[in-house]
Amino acid sequence: MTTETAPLPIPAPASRASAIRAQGLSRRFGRVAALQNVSFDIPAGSICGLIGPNGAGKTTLLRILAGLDEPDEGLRFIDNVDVAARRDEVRSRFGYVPDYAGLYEGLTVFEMVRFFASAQGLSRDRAEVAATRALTQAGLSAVLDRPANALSKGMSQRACVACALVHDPPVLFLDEPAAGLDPRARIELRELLKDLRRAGKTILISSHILSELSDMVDRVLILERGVVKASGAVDAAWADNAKRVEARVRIEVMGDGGPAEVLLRSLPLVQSVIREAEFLEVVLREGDGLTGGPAQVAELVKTLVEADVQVCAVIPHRPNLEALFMTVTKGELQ
Amino acid sequence: MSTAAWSSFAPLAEREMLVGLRKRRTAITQFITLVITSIAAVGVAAANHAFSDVLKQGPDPFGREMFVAVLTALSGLLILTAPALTATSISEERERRTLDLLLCTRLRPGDIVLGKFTSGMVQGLMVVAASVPAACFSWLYGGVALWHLVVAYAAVALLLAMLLAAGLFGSARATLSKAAISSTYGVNLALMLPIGLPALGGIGVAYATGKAPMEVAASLALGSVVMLWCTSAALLASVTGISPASHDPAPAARKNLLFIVTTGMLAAGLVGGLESTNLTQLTVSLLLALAFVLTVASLIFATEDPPVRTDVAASVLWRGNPLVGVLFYVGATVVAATAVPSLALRNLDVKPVTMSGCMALVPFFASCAGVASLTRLLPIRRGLRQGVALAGLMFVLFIPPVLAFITGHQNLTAAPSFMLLWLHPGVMLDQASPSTVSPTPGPFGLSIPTAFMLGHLAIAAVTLVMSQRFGTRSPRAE
Repeated sequence: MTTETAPLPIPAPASRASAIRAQGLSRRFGRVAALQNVSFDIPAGSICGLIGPNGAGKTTLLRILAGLDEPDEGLRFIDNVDVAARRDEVRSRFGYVPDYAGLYEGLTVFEMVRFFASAQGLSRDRAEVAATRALTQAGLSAVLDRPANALSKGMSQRACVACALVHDPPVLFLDEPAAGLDPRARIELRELLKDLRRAGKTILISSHILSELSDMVDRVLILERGVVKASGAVDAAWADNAKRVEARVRIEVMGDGGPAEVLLRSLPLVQSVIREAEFLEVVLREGDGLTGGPAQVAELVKTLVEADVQVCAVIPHRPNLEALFMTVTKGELQ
Repeated sequence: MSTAAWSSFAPLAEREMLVGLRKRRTAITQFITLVITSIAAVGVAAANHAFSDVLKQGPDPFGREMFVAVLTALSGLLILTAPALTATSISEERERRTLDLLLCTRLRPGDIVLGKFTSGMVQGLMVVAASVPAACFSWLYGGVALWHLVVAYAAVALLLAMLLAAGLFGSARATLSKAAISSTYGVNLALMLPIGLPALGGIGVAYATGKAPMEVAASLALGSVVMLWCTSAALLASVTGISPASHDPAPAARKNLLFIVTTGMLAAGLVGGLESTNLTQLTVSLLLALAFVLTVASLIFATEDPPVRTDVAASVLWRGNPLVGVLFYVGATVVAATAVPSLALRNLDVKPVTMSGCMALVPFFASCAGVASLTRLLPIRRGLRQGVALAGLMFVLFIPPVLAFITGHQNLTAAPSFMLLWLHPGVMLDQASPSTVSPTPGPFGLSIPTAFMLGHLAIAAVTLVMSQRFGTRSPRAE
């Protein structure tokens, strides 16, 4: 069980136009069902974290959404454009950053991004303007004339994002963009994505680094063995699954924790107490409100204070993406 | 080509040229070509001077010998080096994972293939241009008219196109560049050796028998059709090789049909137009070609059980061991296509089995290139698939009778004649009208050193223009 205490992000407004929509997507590779009847709807302007264990079907889903693979069944829409029916049109509506993409040998960073602008149908002049803008947006203005294949991994990833952004698409697909990046590069990438969200982009991002995601996503799509396990706004997904999670509160008290432990065990809302060296780990029972929520925590503190126990700190283990992920997935291998 | 069509793949072609011309490979290959073709020309001169009395017969035969030597050296170089221009172009994109990025732009798979093909042609033609100074020797000595040079270089351009297309085909279907290179050179060897070696052996036969200029032109046209067929098939297969898997067979089926109809009608038009001496012969040739096209098309698109099951080989290939399937293809195609042409070629001194087997391999390559991916997308359960043994047989069955009927020459063949011509242009020169043979020196009173200098200047100018266009922003290391 996780001990992360990252706060939940602010939920996205519910009534927004759909930017990415999937209906009953299924895809098999031989005997393996990579996707099974996957349906979801991501409103415009949100960042959705695509989470799942290895082999869950995340990359397959992103490739199908980007038109790089075809589903056996199902429909997908980007910006309300049917990907299968209007391929040429839909390509201007999204940018795609694969989990790894090498950069072109023999081209400068600027030439490479300008090429992708031209490949998106922009004229030469407009392509140059668009490349400059995308590289500035990606924070690569200082390395325009550097050979593309000489960039560091973090910069390469940003250059790929610039290539995906160069035609100013409303939707971005990112497949494990932070994989292999050092902490600084990760933080820079995270800030870049936050900037993009502020610019109104809809982003579907796949990642294994849940602590990174929890800081920026407002929606989640959790896949396991090709099946959607949870989908929607993060708080809603948590509410749907909260009853399946052990809610815990860590309490530090002055002096010997023995009396406090006895007192806590006697409370009906406490399921168990684990006494560690410097604190008490309290596992709560399901109550009237949200298990582990403010009402239960307040009741614990009140009881201890009324019994003259000096409480130093109360740290509730709030729900986060890791907890949600561990709750809804079973760790089964595909 | 329309502006819209060009603009769709121009960005990729431009980028490929940019990257290609920044490498030293092009310049080195140009230099090697210049040196080897010059050595070939000078070598012929030295050999004839030392061992032969050709020079005593006058400058014309000497010029022709030189012309043959230069083109043979150039062709050998192209066979070795040209496939490398495209052999890894798509597989490297796949290895680098940039192919997905390309496919997410407005570039369609066809644009990607055409862009890379165009870039390869430009770079390849720059290499070919390096042989022009050496070829000028033969022109200035005489015995070679300007149109001989033009026709020969057009044939070289077709060869280059076919080699590049084969490279793209190998590259489009390989995941790793090493596999792409092996596949490319394997395909080219399978195509060039069976046709080229017997053709070289048949040079003496061609000298002895002699042909009229009309037959030469017809052979050239037919050879061009075969080369174009192979090129088109390989390019189409490359396109579908990088296309995302599709469950909608309609576009692939339309492409398939279009390919069959256009190449069939092209062959018919060229055969009829160039070989017919009256309207009846032209009409019959067109009807035969149309019947061929309709037969193949109707078999491919048949939905009911056809009278004869023809997809046995395809079944082996797709449902069983691929190696067994490939061996079955090769064996069945060569054996089946040998019997009929043997009868048609009985008047030739070249061994019929060898020659007709080679003929069968040409459509075999073309149809295999097509079947490799096109029919994979077609949910056809019965009928004639491209690549089945019968396809090669039908090609061989179709062409010789038409030619025999139209020309009245039972010994006229298609590809081998062209390959003889191409590999040894002396065949063509021997049959050329004396009025078309250029006297020595060439027009404008150019001397050999002047021609050399002009050739070098032309190459320098092309290189300068290309480097100005594409080489101004060479990346510099930090």
